[in-house]
Amino acid sequence: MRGVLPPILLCAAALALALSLTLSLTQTGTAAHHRLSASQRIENLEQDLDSLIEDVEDLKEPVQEFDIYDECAYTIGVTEHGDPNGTVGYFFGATRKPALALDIRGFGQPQFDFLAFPGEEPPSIECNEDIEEEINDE
Amino acid sequence: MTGPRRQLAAAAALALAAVLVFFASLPASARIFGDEESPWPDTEQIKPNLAAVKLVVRELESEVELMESSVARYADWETCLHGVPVSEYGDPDNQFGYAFDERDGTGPGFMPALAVDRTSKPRREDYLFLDFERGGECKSNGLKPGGTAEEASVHSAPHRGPAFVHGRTLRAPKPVRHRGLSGTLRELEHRVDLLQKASGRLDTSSERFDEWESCVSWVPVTQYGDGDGKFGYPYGTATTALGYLPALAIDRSEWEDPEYEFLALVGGDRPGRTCQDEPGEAVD
Repeated sequence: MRGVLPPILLCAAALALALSLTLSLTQTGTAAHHRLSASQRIENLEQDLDSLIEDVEDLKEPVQEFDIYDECAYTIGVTEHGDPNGTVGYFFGATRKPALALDIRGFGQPQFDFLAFPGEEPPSIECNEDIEEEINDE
Repeated sequence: MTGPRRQLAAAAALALAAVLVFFASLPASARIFGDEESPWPDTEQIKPNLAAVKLVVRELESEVELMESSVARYADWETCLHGVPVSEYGDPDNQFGYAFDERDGTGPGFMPALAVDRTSKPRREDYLFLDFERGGECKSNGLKPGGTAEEASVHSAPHRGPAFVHGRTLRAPKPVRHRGLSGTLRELEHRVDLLQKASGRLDTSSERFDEWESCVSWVPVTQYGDGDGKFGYPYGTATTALGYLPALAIDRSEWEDPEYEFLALVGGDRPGRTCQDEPGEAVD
């Protein structure tokens, strides 16, 4: 029909309009950012850094807590001896049961490597101090 | 003003000047991170402010990089740990349980011991011990087995849990000369943006670690019996006694330290769900 644009052309025109509007808005935003004076940008940076300094300060303690685990934890080789079916095992009444024992000798690999701390003290009291001493001695 | 008063005022002015000189001579980092003082110069001139921003960004990048390295190690740990349900069998008051013979003339008795719990429903086990996986990237194959209680001191660690680090690094871009004020600012804005993202990641990770750590208990464990088989828990088949073996048991001794404090989730505790005990509380 004369005088009426085909629907496909209408769609293309609408799409082009939307794209140009989006582009123009983006450019406006970028331009606004660049229109900030150097002093304003520095001031913004300083404000961001002020809050970052606080955030990083707040993070120190929790991160140190992990470092304590990292410095003080060990894995201890443990293996279970005995058969769960009771054919062979530790004597338990009239039956036999398996039980766990340290596996820290020999060349074989233990069944488990359990995470442990030295028994003498809970972490964060002495073991990380020992490490500091070792570092100082070196 | 009289003579002594003038001298006093002069002395006060000198002292004030000395204090000012002292603070001005402090390294910028001490001024930035050591107290509540603002790191920003008391002027609106661009050059000194820009210099201060650069310094603070560098300091923060260095701190955050160290923290990210710690957190990356935790992430590695986390993927390598898996729980093993363990329960104590036998009576802690030695009225029944595993047979135990000191072979010192006192005769055989009973002792409890720890074993893998294959029968309880999940979260009904006494303890969920944390096993550090050996395979894959979790640990190199050449590691030696763990030591005795004495060897477990930090001075001669048999092998430490975390054996590798996958740290993300937060590196400042290489300096480019003649970038101009606008370019310098753009670069600083980008670095601050990276720092903000890193800080967010650290926050999330530290919360996750806190959640895990506050749920983990230390279980006092000692091995009873002789490693060379001279005394301990009798071991064998229905018809044959094969000898004596040692076994692990909860250490309830009030006089001596346990050999180890095993890390475990106790009584169905699970991070992010229920944690009955206080953070890091030892089990009696």
